[in-house]
Amino acid sequence: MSLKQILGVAQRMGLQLFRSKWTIPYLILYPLFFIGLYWIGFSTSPVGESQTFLVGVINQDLGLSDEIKSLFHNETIMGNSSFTLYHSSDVLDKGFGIEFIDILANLTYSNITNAPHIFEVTQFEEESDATDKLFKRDLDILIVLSPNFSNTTLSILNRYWHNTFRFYLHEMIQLDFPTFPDLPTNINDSIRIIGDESYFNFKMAKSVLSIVIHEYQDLTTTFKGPGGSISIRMNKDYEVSIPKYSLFELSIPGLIAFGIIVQPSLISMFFCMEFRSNNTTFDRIRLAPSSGGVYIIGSILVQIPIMIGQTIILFLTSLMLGFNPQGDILIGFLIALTIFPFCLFLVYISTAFLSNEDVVGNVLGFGAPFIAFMSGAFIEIPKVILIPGIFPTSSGYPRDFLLWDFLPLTHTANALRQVLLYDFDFHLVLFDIFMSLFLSIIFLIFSLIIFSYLRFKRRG
Amino acid sequence: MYKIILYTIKCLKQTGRNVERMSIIFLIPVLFIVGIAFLYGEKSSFVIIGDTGDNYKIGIINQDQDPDLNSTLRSQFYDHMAETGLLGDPLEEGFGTCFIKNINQSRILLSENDKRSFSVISYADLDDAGKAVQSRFISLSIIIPINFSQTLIAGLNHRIMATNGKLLLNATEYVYSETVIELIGDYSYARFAEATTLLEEMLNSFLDHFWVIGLDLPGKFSVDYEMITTLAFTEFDIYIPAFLIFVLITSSTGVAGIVGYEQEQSTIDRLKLSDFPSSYFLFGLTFTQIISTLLTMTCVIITIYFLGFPFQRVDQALLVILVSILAVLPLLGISLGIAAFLGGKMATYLPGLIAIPLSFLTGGFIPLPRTNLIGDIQLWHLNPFYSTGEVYRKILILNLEANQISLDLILLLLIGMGFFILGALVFIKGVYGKI
Repeated sequence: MSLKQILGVAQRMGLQLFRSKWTIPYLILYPLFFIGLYWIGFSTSPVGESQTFLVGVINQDLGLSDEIKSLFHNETIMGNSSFTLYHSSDVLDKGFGIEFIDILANLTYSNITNAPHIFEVTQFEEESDATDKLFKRDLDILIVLSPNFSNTTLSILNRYWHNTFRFYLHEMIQLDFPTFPDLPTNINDSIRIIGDESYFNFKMAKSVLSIVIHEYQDLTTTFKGPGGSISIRMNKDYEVSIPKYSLFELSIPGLIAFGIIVQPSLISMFFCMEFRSNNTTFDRIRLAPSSGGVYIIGSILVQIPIMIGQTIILFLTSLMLGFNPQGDILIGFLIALTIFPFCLFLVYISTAFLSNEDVVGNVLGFGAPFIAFMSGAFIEIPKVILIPGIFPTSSGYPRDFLLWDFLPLTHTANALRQVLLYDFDFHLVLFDIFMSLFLSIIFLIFSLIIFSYLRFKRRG
Repeated sequence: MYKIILYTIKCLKQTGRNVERMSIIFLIPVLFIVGIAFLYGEKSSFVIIGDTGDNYKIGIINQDQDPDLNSTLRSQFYDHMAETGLLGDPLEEGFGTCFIKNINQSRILLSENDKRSFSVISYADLDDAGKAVQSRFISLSIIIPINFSQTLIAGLNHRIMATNGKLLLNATEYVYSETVIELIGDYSYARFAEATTLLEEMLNSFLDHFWVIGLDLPGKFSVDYEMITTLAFTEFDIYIPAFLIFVLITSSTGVAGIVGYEQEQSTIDRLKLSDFPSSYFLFGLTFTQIISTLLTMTCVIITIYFLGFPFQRVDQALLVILVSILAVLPLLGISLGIAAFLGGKMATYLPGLIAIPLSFLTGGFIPLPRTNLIGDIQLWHLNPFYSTGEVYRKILILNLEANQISLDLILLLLIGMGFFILGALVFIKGVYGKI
């Protein structure tokens, strides 16, 4: 094996590749198509606390009875007490249902001026109309307030009053006004939430809505326990949401990682042409004094600039389409390079067994996305924990060793996200970078052994 | 017609004789779906990026000050406190520390049926906690306030008075008081919302141990969840429409490869010289693609049935297979267009490579933003695979009747036909038309 032989193989392959009329279009078009299509779909998708959920409301609340309304309006009876301390001024007349809907419609993610609303509320009369909207995903979630909503709210207030002061609200008023009627004390009612379990937005809207309902009950009750209140509220001063990224930008690290491991199909296709019966390259290599190693090293040499070139195009395309990373793009690029040995693994392992370029292309067409899904490059996957809490992380909490950690792409995507999206220091992602490179090399060595055996040594 | 049938048979034989290509049509899509079922077979996590699983990691900044009670007072409190069953000694080490201990062993504070658990990591600094939340290593962070113990003791003092008529502590110093545990988190992160709900449940359970033992529990609103989907789906089931689109596009390249092969072997040139018009070629190719798609999708549908997808009607499966045939038109149009511009090889590869972004553009994995053009027609309907995905979703997940998917079907047919005609015209002009 000599350097001259290796360079000779690399030169021959390189010339063949670049003389082919589809190499250059592939190299340039693929990243543009791939990243571009994703940009079309998700560049305007809000992420973080800028997403407004579409909520349908059917308000069946009948409000409070006229008798109770007039009593609470009676200043002689109520004295200085007023519902307006905790509730809207017209809650007695309009009912707690309307108040709840107003609260929903006016909730914002923060106290900042022009902060996005959490919900966009549309009221419906008929449930069938609203359900039809749910089917079409014109609504994220539907909430139905029962006819007894106001009475139940009053009952909860009355009950908490009892727990706090050992007297019901009406009992306290009755001390001065014995004719004051008893208020409801034990009404249990339900709020119906309707939606599509398979819809991502429904799941998120449901979670947020459950917090809002819980907090509304706190508002309703005023008092939490017999002697005090400890409640949970959002910290309004510290911004942790990631609104500056669109869904497109949030997905870029995973897309780049996937884009890199898809590119071997081009090389694999070229390899397959060498295996065809009318091509005697491999026979000549076997007969020549040069070993299979010359061919392998030569072919690796020619793949490196192609992979680097396409990775640069992937990064450039992302940046041109508006990806604005917080972290250092150069470090991100270096992290992306760590997956290259794994790309070579895909080339050699697929062409070790298969000779038809259509088939290799299709195997990688299914295989590469599967690996990307398995690595969580697109969407997180459920955990399969092998060893809990053994890896240090930048959060300070040790990470579990998962089944997917055997794949280098898991670590590449993790490291790219942490550096590009969140600007983590290089040393904090060193473990993932190491694992990405180390596992990639292990996979490559394995594939080279198989490739050499099947392609160069099988026929002695 | 006879020539078209003959050409179709020739294409099918060409595909069938190649064992590797046959494996693409049958085996690889099935293996892909089985693998995906393995990945997403559990209940839905619905997390695009972030922590997943039944264990929620939360950060805590504990600013609580220990209760400053002398041994006599502590002893008096113990006399009036029932055995709580909680971990730790709140009067000794502080209610904040005690609360954290019990969160870590969340089985104590959550209902017995709840599978979820919590792991706590302590932070001294707000920025560190915030960064961990932002990167979604943890679901949320909480700040336990400085007067957490003070407030709890005040409440306990009040409850002892309410139930025993006796105040242990000075009523003016330990009166009704309010405090707030602050949350740091991202509302739109599903894990944050889930963890918050559970945390509230745990906090209430913790407080109830000290405050309302012996008192009537207040009534409250229960929340009834009703799904327009009639069945419970796993994450795998929910993603099935999008994965079917992916399989449909990727496996189509097997037939697209025929175009490449015909170009490479100069078969097209020979056909052009003979009495074989381009329409015959296109019909033959279309029939081959339809048969191939029928076989592939049937295999895949049978596979997802055996993997436990909850089909509710037999005709659900049949409808999906029939709709897949309509999706053949745009697939062929794309392959022919690429073959005309970039050659047969690219026609084989490019559709497969862009299958992932096209699958995501169905909104089947992540919802697409709403972009209504006219009435219910959205911008995304211009992508025929979006209509296909919508039909799959409405049939398989929502179990809708055929009349409720008519708009999507019509749009699929119209746009798909448009793609096919455009691809065919470009192909005829660029490849078949020249001699």
